[in-house]
This record gives sequence, structure tokens and C-alpha cells, in this order.
Amino acid sequence: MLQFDRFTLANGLRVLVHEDHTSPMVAMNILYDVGARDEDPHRTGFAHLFEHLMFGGSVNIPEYDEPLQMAGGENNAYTTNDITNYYIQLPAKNVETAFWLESDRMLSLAFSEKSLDVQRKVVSEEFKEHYINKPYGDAWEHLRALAYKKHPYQWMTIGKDLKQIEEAQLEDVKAFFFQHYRPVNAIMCLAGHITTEEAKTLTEKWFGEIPSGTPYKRELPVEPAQTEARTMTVEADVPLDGLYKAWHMSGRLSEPYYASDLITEILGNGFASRLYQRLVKEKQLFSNLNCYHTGSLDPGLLVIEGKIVEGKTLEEADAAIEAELELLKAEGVTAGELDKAKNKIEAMIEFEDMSLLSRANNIAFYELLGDADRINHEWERYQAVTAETLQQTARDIFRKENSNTLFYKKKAK
Amino acid sequence: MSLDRVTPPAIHDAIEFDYVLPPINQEQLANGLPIHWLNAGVQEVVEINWVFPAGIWHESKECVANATAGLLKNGTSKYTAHQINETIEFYGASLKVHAGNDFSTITIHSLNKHLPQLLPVILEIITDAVFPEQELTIYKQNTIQRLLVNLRQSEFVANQQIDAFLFGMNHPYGRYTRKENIEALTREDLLSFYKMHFALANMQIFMAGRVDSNTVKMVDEVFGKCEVTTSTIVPATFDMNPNTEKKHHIINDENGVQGAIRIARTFPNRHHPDFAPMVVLNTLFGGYFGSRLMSNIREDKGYTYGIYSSLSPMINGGAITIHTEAGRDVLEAAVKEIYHEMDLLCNELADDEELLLVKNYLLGNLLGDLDGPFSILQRWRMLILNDLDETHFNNNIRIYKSITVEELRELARKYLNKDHFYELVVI
Repeated sequence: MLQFDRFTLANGLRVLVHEDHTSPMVAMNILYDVGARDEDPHRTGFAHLFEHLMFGGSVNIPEYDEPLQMAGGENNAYTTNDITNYYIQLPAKNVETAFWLESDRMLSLAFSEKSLDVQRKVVSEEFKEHYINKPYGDAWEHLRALAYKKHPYQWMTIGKDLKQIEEAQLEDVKAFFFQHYRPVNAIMCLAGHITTEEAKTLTEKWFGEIPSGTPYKRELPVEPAQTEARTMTVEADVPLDGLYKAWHMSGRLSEPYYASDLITEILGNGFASRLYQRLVKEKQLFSNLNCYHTGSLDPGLLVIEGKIVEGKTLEEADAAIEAELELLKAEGVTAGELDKAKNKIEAMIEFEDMSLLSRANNIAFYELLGDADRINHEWERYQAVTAETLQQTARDIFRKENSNTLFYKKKAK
Repeated sequence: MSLDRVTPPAIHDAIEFDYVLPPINQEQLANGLPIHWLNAGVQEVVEINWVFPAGIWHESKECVANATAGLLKNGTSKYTAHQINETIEFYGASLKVHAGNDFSTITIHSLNKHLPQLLPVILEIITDAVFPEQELTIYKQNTIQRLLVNLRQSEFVANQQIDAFLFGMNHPYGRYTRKENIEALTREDLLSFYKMHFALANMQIFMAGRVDSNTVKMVDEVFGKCEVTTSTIVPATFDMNPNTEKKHHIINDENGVQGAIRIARTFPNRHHPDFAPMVVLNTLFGGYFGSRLMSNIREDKGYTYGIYSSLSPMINGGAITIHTEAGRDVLEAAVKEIYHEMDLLCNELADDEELLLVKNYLLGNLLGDLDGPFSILQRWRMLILNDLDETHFNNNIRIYKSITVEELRELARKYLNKDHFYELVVI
């Protein structure tokens, strides 16, 4: 059970405080309600590029990292298709340094040409390192584009292509900042050796005078229900054939989300999971196999992917997966399998709570979902999933017309 | 009154704080096996490590240590791999077996309440693994396939080659996995390595989490009853055989858009008096986001997404390695800047302010690290496996707090002389 207090500043900044005086540290997590899904289709990758620019100096502080490191702190940030999240951990005695730094960059960035110029290059190298200069690095680009025809989940967080990142201008940066990086679109969580009273005083002092901003009204195109199976074949210079399959699933706040999460546990998480045991160990069709989902706020994807054993074909591997899914739809899961999946979730929740940063991050994230207290009821939501609802969810997801299959073929020599 | 946003709030320098490594309990099970444990944290979780002198150093045939670790839990005389995995996963636990350069370690993470069901399974795999032929066949096939994918990546090839340059292909720290070595593995290789190196007599147990003497008792009931027969491992010795050429350029992928740069030299291990000072110098040079390398090569020039230098201490030696992936067209420029930063450290004194920042950063992070049961355990495991104790820890803290810019320059002249480094670029 995570305890927290909550207050909102006059400018709309939502603040949560999770006191833990067993730690000598404080974690500060600031979540901005903007991700790659909010990008202009011609300016993809921008939310992530912007995250880099947040470290390029703010209106009163030329260097973000140095003073934080001097205070014994460490920080980082990440961007997803849904959100952008910044976090700091530092000794509690120096917590005011975090308030000073974060409030100044929420007040305004320095908007330096040099920073934009350098970070465009840095992000280009990041793009190359993770998505171009790596076997199968572009699989997700194809898979997203195959599965989403309208919704902005059709592109990756890093962006559609390098060119759009290279074209980003300072004017775009400014507009993006004043639209999304305002108190009214942010949620802050403080966790660790700090009291709610101290947090209130410091938040008022440093964040209180920042102009509120206009609430961002998200109006994203809804992905129409898929009506026929889609397949795509790409050929590339890779050593093994790869198979990627994705089905649309429900969004983060829906009830079937929990059953879907348990389905991925049962199918593909661990050496005792169904697909691993049957397709890697028994049939030896795959040399590795993963099943997971994107966990996204809007309806996401449930994915099964793996590399094919040499001498086996993509077609037989695909057929074997389909057969396993038919079996799941027809016969459901055993009570033992369901218990196992739930036990894994229970342990995962407990282990996640060990880290101060992870608690700060989760509390802010669940507040974005509507109510931070939801985090304390997640386990109940998983417990409520029955074998019947799980089977029904599997039937809803694993329909032929809901499937997207990417055959990633090695080029014939 | 308007708020002064320009002047930083006053800070407490982390070098002024006290750093106490929470003590560890060192006991023996009924049969004399050592267990090191500590109670920390509030979550009802536990981590246990069973550590054996079964790393790559100890193998007499290539790839045996990794294969043994990889297949340890894939079958005993009573249970199949599937049954073992099923038990572990049913209780939501994770079980990992890892072969390192010097040791092999079995690690379990579990909720406390499930520990009684899990401990007998661990005992089973430690004392009765059978390495079924069929499991080995699958392991070989899938490991080779993974290797084929990895070999397409310049980063992977660079990591393999740089160690081979430093230590030589005949040295355990230098040699790397090749397809034919995996193909040559037999069940007998694994069994004989397992019998000799996973003997209980040489096992050490480490445990942390929300645990107490009852948890120790629980472990004792399972592991303390086994018969332990003394088994002495005569540690092998190896000669280093470094490459005679210092500069290497490999084209792994004609169409690569990036190259992997590795610049490295050997460096002593934790027992050497220069090790702790080097931790500070390495942090300043390339060990954190504000380092010289990162500030210059990423934040000023944009040549890379990231660049780091790191120390890799092992039981019988070690290395310092600079690693980055940079755009194909800026590889030469990036290498030049790396050397330039080495020269600067050798020729010019660092600023006192910069050194204070590095110290505060290093120690502030340590404070956070000493906050969790598993990270405290990791520190103790490192000390104990290296035959060190908390005086070593305290001594290091003293060095981190007191080292001067002059000492850093001396150290740089000794260890960051570019002529002593191997240089490798893989496209």
C-alpha cells in the first residue's frame, strides 16, 4: 500500500508526496502529458528530440546537469508514445536544488541554437545505433505502420525517419514547449525523505509563479477496427528469418487490459510459458520467442515475435503460433496457469516498489491515469480476472481479421 | 520580492556526509558452509546468491562455463527442465544462472513467503543436475543462432575483439565465443566441469532482503544437512599474450552507418592502491554524464549518442575501456578527441571545482546505493569474493573524499598515456 498526499497549485500543477523517511534520498519525478502520439505526422520524433533539449539550459540556468551533479544528484528522462517523464534522485539535504532546476526549465528553456544543432546530431546517432545499424532494427517501424492506419501509434517514438529530425527548427521547439510544458499539463511526484509540508513550501516557492498555460486538448484520430488480416514481407540482410505478429488490444484503462497482460505472461513470459515450451523446446521452430504488449494508454498491440530456427520456414512457424492461439481460444487456461501468472504479477509489483524512483514514477503515472490511488488497487484488478474472462479476451484479440503479420526474411545469398 | 533564480540554492557537499556500509552477518550452516546475510528494506522480498569458483577462468574447454550455467537448471535426475521452470515461475520467482569471468552465480529473487517451496529446487539443481543430451542440442542450436545475429553488430564484434587484443586469445579474459567452440561441446564436458566446480565445498551463500535468523534457519534446513566433501581447486594460471599491433580497423558491415570505437588498456584490479583513485579519475574522464568525454564528444560535437570509459576489475587483472558508437563520417574525429581528452588530463591540472563536482556526484550516488538491500549485498559480495572487507570500503571513501587534482594528474600520466592503449574501430 503506497501512502501519498496530494495538492494542486493555483497554476494547475498537480503534486503528490510519498513520504519514506527510511531513505536518505528524495526522488523527484515530473511527468509531462505529451508523447509521440501528440506529434504532427510531418514532425515525428519531435517529443523525443524535445526531451533532449530540456537538458540544454533554461532561462536562468545555463547548465542543467552540473549543479545537480554538484548536489550529489543524478537524473534522466524518457519519452514514450504517450508521455515524457523526467526524474531526479538526490540526497534529501539538497532537495532544493531539484526544485530550482526543474522549476526553471518549466518556466522557460533557453532555446539555444547550439543545443538544437547538437541534439539533432545526437538523436540522429541514437536513431542509427538502435534502428538502422542493427539487424531487425526497423521491424517495429514496419509493424507499427502495418497495424495502425489512422492513430499516431503508427510511428515510433524516435520518429519516422532521420530527415524529419534533421529539419526541426527552433520555432517548432518554442511552440511545442509553450503548448505542452506548462504546469497545467504536468504532474510532479516527490518521494523519500521529505514531508508534505516541506514539499508544499518548496513547490509554492519555485513553481508557484509559473504561468499556468492552456490545458492541452487531445483529439487523436481513433484507429478504426481492423476488418481483415494484414501481412507484410520485408527482405533484409539478416542471418535468420524473423516473425512478428501483432493484434490490437484494449487501452490501459479498460478492464480487458488486465486479462491481456496475463495472457502475455501465460503465453510467452518465462521458460515454462506455453509458447516457449512448445515452440522453442518441443517443436524447435524458434530459437527465441517473446510475447508482450505495448502497454499503451490508447488501444495498444499484443505482440508475439521470434527468430526462426535454420531449416524451418516462416510459414510453419506462423502456423504453429496460430495453432497455439486456437487452442487457447478453444480450451482456455488451467487454474494453475492463471495462478502462476497472477503470482508473477504479485511479485513484480512488490519488487518494483523497492526503488524510490520507481515509486515516484508510478504514482505520477497513475495520477495521469486519473487517480494515483489506482496503483493500490492494481493487484485487485488482476485478481479479479477469471479463466472465463481471460478466454473471452483471448477470443476477442486473436481473431484473424485483427492480426498483423510481418515476415522478416533474410535475403537469399 | 521576486525569487532569485540565478543563484543556486546552498548545498551540502556530499563529501561531508558519512558513509557507512551496513554490516553483514557471517555465519556457517550446520555443515560449515558459509552464509553472508543482511536484513534491509521494507518489502517482503529476498535475493539469494550461490556463488561458485566456476567462471570462464576455470574452464578447460572453451564455452563450457557458459553452457554449464545455461543448462544447470535444465534437468536433474528427478525433474525435467520444464518441471523446474514451472516450479520457479509458479511462485513468481526469477532464477538466473550466470557465468562470469571468475565465478558462476545462481541468483533467485522471490517473495519471502514462497522461499520454503523454492529452496529445495535450488539444492536439487546444485547437487543433481544431469544436463540431458536433448537440452544440450537445443542450447547449442539456439546459442549459435543468437551468435550469428550478434556478429552482425559492430558493437558486439568490437567488444569481443578488444579483449582479445588486450589479453590474447589463449587467456580466459581475452578469448571469445566462436561457433565451432559451441558445436564442439559435449555432455561429458559439462558434467565434469559441474562435478568439479559446483561442489558444495566451494560454495558461498549471500542473502539480503527482509530476512532474519528464521530465514537463515530455513536455508540451513535445506543446505546445512548436505554432506560436504572437501574439494580443492587448483587455480590455473595463464599468460597474457597481447596483440603486437595496437591499432585495428575492421569492416564488419560494408553498409554500416556507424562504427564502434573501443580504446583500451589493461589496468590492475581492486587490490592495487591505484584502483580507488582511478575510480575518481575515470568518473571525471568518462564515467558519468557530465564527464569530459561526454561533454566534448556528445554534448559539444554531437558525434555520438553516448560515450563512456569504464573499469573492469577481475580477480586476476582488469582493464580500462573507452567505448562509443559514432557516425561513420566522424569516427576519425571522435578517436582524435578521445586522445585529446587523455592528453589534457596528463598535461593540465583539472579545476578544483570540477573535482569537487565529481566527488559529490560519486558520493551522492553512493548514498542512494547504500539505501537498498540488494545494492548493499552486491557491495559486500564484491568485497568478500575479492578477499576484502569493510576497511577497504572505508578506505575507498576516504580516497574519494580527499584526492587532489595533482594526484589525478599523476595518475593520468601513469595510466592515460595514449601510447599504451589499443585502438579498435569496427564498422
